[in-house]
Amino acid sequence: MPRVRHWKLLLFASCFMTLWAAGPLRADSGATAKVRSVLDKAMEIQTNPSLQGTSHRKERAGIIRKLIAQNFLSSEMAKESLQEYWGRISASQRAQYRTLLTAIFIDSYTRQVVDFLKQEKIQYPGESPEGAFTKVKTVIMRTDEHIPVDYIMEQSGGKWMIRDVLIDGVGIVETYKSSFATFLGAHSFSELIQRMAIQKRANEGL
Amino acid sequence: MKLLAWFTEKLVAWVLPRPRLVLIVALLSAVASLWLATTRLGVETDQLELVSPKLPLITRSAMLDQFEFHGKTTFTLVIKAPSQDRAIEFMKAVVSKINADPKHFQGVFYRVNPDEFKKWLLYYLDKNDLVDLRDTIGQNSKMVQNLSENPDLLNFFTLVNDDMASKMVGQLFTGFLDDKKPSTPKGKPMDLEFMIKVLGGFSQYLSGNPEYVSPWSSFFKSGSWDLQKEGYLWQGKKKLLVAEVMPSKVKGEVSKTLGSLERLRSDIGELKASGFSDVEAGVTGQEALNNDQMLTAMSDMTKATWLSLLGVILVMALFLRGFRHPLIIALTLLVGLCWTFGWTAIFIGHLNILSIVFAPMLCGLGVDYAIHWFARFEEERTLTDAPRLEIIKNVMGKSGPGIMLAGISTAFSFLPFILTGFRGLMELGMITGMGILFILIADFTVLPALSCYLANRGPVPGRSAGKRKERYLLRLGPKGIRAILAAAIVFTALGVIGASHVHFSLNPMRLQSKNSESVHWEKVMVENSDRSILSAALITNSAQEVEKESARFRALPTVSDVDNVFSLLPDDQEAKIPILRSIAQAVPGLKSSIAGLSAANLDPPPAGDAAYKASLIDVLERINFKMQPDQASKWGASKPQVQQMSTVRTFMGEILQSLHKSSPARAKRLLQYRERFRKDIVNQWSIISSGSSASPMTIRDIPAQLRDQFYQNGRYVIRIYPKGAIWQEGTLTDFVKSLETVNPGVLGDPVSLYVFSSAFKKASIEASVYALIAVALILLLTFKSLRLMLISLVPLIIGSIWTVGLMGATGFDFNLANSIFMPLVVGAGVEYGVIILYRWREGMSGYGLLPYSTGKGVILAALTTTIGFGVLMISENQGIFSLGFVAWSGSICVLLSALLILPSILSFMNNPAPVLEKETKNATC
Repeated sequence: MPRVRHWKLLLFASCFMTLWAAGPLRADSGATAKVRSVLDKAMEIQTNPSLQGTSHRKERAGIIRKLIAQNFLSSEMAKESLQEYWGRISASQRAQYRTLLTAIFIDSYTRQVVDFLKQEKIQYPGESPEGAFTKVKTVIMRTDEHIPVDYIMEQSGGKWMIRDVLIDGVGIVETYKSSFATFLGAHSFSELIQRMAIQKRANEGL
Repeated sequence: MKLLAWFTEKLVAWVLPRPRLVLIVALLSAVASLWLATTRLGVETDQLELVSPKLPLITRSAMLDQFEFHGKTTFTLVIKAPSQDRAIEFMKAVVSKINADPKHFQGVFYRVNPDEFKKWLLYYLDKNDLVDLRDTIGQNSKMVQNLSENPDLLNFFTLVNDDMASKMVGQLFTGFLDDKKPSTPKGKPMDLEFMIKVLGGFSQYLSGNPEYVSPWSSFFKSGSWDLQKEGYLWQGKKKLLVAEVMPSKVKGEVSKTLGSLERLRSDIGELKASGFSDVEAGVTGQEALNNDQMLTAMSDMTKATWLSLLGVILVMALFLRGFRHPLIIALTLLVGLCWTFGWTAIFIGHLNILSIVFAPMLCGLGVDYAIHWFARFEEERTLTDAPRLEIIKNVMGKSGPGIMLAGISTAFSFLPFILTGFRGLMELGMITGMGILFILIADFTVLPALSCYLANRGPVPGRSAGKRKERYLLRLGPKGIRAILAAAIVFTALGVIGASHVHFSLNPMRLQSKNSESVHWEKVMVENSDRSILSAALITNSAQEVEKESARFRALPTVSDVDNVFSLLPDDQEAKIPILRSIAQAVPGLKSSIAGLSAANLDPPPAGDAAYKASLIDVLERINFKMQPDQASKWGASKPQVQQMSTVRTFMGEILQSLHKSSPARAKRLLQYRERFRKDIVNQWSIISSGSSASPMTIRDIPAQLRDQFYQNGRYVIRIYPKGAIWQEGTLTDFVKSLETVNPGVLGDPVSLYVFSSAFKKASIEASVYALIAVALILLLTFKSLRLMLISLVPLIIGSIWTVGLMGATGFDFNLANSIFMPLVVGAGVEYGVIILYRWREGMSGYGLLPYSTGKGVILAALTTTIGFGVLMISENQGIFSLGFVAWSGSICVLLSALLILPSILSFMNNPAPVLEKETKNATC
């Protein structure tokens, strides 16, 4: 009897160890690594001594813009942000809308990164499934202040891409969705396109 | 004159053989008089009763008094503290002392119970404020809904952070959709005022300040109430906290409320010494002012009476070269004063603020006759070696009638005050007039009786009769006479010019003692009050009349504001109902577990645990991350917004620092703050929730303590506030007269003041005229010559013009105290004229000459009179001081006029010696 007991205990310990060891592997599916690499790159650009100062701001913004364009699924964001309207508009309108939203989003995000991101201490508390996607949690830590920023990741063409960002719980795609819905409740789609075009032109000076 | 001579002779003939009996009777009657005065003589302070006890306004004012704490006398307690909370704390402490002392206090009105009008608080908001409130609730519906479920501090910050995050992300990514004039809540720029209020209060509380600052006034704009602080009687933009204290009246004191006033002041002093040193507080109001005024006046008058007596004795000792005669004069005067007190106690029973000055005045005025008597006594001593009794008889025979005439003239310059019908002056006239007569009686009984024992004997050593006969105080040649008359004309002209600058001041504050506590606090109230602290009033019997009369009063250019019971109700209630109902729909009910409970009955939150604190720190740090003033500035935030962000970060730093440190005291403070925060939300909720569905307020809903001031038993009071400075005579007259055009039945303080001051002015003028007429008649009957009568009035008329001119030059105005100077000076002015004229009629004077003894007597009498009036200037009471100054300068002017102008005028007249000799012979026969 004592032998049997030892054997059972050993089996239980092995199973526990395996599961315990598998946990982090399952959590770090590559999505976190991707987010970490994007953020590291962004911080590297932001803190690159040769890119400091207002004279290099445009150059720095260009590099950041490129980084965002490479890592965000902005066309998917465009589609999702329009909800049922997407089905009601023509292909050319869709293309026009997608182009404008992608440009506006990238510009807005770029500006945010350029203006706010420094050499930050970032915590990565883990990742979790979010429907068909994976949510990667991060927290930007500063003295007496912090902010959680969650990334919704989707695998596309074998690569992890960012599909949405939740800043302190508020999703960018969700913000687009609700704002556009409110706007289209009172205005036409062409007015929305017009506003987006104006915003795009305004962002060109960034 | 014959009659006076006869009476004097008979009186002296009766007194001189029995001086001991006279003195014993005088002593006993003086002691009895003093006993009567101490047991029966009271003091009255009511200003209106000085006019007339039968004045219809008094009866109507008594009706108005019913609307002010049901006719109870009140003191006004005023508190000025560094903060409203501190003032309330002090008020509660005083109220608890008052309530615990029924012996001194009947009660205190310091607060209208806020629960009684809580239901209608929303109706008191402006329509625009209500719309703002509705919009705020609508725009923050998520937060409002969520807080109704969980009114906790952590939940609140979490909701704020969610809102901020949503606004921030919205602004970053879809801000371009916002119209220039935002139509959506998301488009509104972030206003951090509310956050600053919350964080500031939270930070202070955590750092140990027990004052809870409700942030909801910022969130709901005007629609926020802290019921703990509502209902107090604030004044002067909430700088002063006041209460009305009802004293218990105790019989037997000089003032029946004095004991309560002293106790209240002592209570305040004790509280200040026991932890309220930062709070200023005091007592004022009409009753306190009256008490202080009476106390000051009585104390000053006691001092003044003794000082006057001492001064008079010293001056006499100096002039009469010894203490023996001054002692006789002082004892005679004392007997006369005692008789006057006794007579007053029996026939009047009280003194008032006007008649309280009679004693020191009588010292100055009444002593004159004895002085003239002794001046002549000294002269007679130089003329003859006759024994003392013979000299006394001579003096009585020669100067007695003149002295008697001067005394009666002076008495009759006061007695006609009775004809004015103004009670204060009537009493002053009776007391002073009778006082002069009593002193005169003493001068013809006690004085000769005392002189039989104490007066100096024999002739003045070292002087011959021949030489003494030639002594004159004044020798004027024709040039001197012309110069004096020319100077008199010039000074009189200057006097007329100066007099044109003298006005009549009504301000009762200018009559009070500057150092009086009640005056200090009354001034503080006047300075801090948003409108006049005095209001007129009208009592009506119907609501329609109230509306109609109020509208007519409002239309007057002299009126700034009109209050009635209906103006206590919220404005435009019907128009506010739809807005309120829409608020009612937007406000969710509180969670069932807290709905129906008042804030006071809420269970305290569970004790703060580490997880709660960690969550609180987490959410506060997340909020802090969003406050980046430098970046906000770059992104185009306005300067105030950037400043607000910096302030938020400062408070956030303080709070986080406190939360990171753990100690039982800090944990307790956090728990207490959570509790107060939750109660505060529940309070606001219940006010908005019940208020938005309440029916319009009616006068029945007004808290009784407030309503009773405007409506009682079917009677309504309209209160009308003046525009402009009510203390200026012109403004007051215009105000009252314009009100009387709307309704002649108006009453209240301005009306009383107007009636009082008008009656007083009229009475003062009438008193002067009556005094002049009475004196002129006496002089006419005595001298039987219109010319002599007019000449005897010259010192008075010229002296009065100079006095008023001097007032103009020194910046003194007539006021409610010094207006009586004229009738007071009449007595003195006539006396000097009569004495000089009488001596002149003896035929001893030549051209431009004033005999030494007569001049000396007049100067000494004038000096004693100026002492009598001058000592009034020691008073802290500014009214008595001004009366002292004016009467003092008046008596000096009258003296100069009598000494210089009268002999100059008489020098133009024939020597009347035979006339007097004839009269004297006839009288003797």
